[in-house]
Amino acid sequence: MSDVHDIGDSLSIDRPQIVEGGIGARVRIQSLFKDFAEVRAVDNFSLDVNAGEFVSFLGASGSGKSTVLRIVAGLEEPTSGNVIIGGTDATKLPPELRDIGMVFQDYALFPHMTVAQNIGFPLRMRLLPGREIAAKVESVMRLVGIEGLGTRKPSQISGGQQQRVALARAIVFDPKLLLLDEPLSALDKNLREQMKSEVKSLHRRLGVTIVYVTHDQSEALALSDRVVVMRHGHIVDVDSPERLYRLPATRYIAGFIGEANLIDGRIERAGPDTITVDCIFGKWEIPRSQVRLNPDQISAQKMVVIVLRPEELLIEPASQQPNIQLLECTISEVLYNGSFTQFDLRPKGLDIRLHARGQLGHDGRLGAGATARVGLRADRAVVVDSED
Amino acid sequence: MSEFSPTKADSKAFRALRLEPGLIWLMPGLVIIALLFVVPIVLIVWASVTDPVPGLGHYAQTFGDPLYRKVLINTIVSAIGATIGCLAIGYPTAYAIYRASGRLRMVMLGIVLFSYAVGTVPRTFSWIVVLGDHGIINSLGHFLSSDFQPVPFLYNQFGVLVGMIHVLLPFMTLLLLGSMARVNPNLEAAARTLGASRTKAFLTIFLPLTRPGVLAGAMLIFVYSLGFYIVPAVLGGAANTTIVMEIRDLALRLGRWGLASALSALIMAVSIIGAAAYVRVTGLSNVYARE
Repeated sequence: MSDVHDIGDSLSIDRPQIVEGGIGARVRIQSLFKDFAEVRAVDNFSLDVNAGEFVSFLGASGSGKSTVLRIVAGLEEPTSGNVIIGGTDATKLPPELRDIGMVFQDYALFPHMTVAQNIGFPLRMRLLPGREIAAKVESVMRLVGIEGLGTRKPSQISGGQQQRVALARAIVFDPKLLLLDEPLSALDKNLREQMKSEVKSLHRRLGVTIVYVTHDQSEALALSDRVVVMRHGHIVDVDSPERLYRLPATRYIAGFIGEANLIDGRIERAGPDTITVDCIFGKWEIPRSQVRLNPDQISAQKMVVIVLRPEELLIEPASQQPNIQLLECTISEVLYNGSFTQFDLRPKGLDIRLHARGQLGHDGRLGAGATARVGLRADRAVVVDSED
Repeated sequence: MSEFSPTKADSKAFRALRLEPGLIWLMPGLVIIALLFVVPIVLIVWASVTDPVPGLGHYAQTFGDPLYRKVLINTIVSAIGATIGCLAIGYPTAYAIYRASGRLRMVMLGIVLFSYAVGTVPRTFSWIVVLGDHGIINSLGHFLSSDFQPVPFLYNQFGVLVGMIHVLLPFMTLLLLGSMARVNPNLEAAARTLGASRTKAFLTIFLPLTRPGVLAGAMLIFVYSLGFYIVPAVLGGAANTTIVMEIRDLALRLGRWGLASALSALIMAVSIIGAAAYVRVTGLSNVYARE
């Protein structure tokens, strides 16, 4: 902390600094397998994490995401495969020699030590002189916003403060890699939103590589450079949050990340720039860039699923626009959500249900049971395989 | 009616009621403690200074007579030895059970509980079968070499300690396991990621957090050991007479109730000092503390 430039500091506040290839470690995970008694918890997991990158492992419980994290930390031994951290093969290295910071879901603060002793623990293990430990602890406590709590015991501070202590303890020794295992899941919603921004800005300021495990898609989307979607111990897809949401690669991802209308269809004709999909709403022409099938799978008669996000359904569109298919729908339910309203729709004469997101009409006409004109933005549709 | 303040009367009535049920529920316990604990202690202390003649003669004799001094020292040395032995064996045992998972843990715990359930008498006598001159170990030595001289395991301090540790070990193990089970298993993992070796993590995190259990266990085993009778009687020799054996001898064989009472009062004082020292160090609440 001593080499902070006083002049530059205040100027850089509103300048977004994305540290690419900064001080963080590069992590390479190669063909990782982990078998417990009868279950394969991790199934051929390979991933390269760039220096300074923020990568999330997103999956339901039992998807193996925490197991991979514990293997990277050295707390669990892989059945086979390698973990390379910052260029050295760490697969056989004990956790204490890997130089990683880790925040546990339950924080794992040492109850018999004060906040300052907790944060100073990794420095004491590294045999730093007491004066230096005190200075570093002080400065990291200021960084995470818990100054003045040093003499308290973990049991005497709030859950949010405990979370900050755990974070401070994991970064005080300037690790090159930070592992966060569902760090926000024990906090209530408002605090979680606030900590989300703080974790993100901490990442930007430290330039450390972060691997973040979560089952909460909004955390993964909001924080990450890339999201690893996991299921049954293997990787379903790795992509940027925006692409995962806008261009989901599989039916599972479409349903798992955000909400989606999934419409069954069949490829009728594969053209050079677009493909034509026959579905319940007729024949839709979809650009190749929105078709998430292997090129060799794109052939006539192939069964597919069309993914249409709820916000691509326009309730009572103002004027006729190109590429919009209009439907008469019965509104079966209206769920007001604050910033948006969810409409459950039944198109007239068709056996399908749709979800739309829009704004509640001020005239109160769009209640349950009412009829509405709905525009489907077929140009935003994504085509995925009908099987997972 | 309206002049009368019902809330005031109610609160008064409730205050009285609130006090009484507590006392009522305490009565059986208080009566039993008074009749079976306090009264006998008073009688013993009284007898120790009055029987057969008033005065502190018995206490003077207890400290002055080398025989009683030796018996007292024997008893305390055995109790300390048993406590240390139980800690030295019980802590690693409990730790192994704590670290084991699933089936193995159940089996290990089952063995401890089973040995806890078998009474002191059969377990004590079983050592004669193992360690006696014609026991398993000495027979094996004899089988291997015809010149083998039986090792005198029994009827000495060693035999007494083996028996006492054996009897008390399951008790100690369960006490320690209870305090270990309250330690969050993630704490050691966290310490490892923060740079502590396995040993360092154990010494700086796990051991301090189980300290209340260690102190509680040691105190209970020590006090319990002071009153041992069967084990030293069966496995000890004439030189290993403990204070309880001496008391029994004095009271029932020689009819010297006054001197027996004085010895009883002394051993009780040592027990109470042990318990008080424990409370002084840890505070009573620490036996149950959740951290």
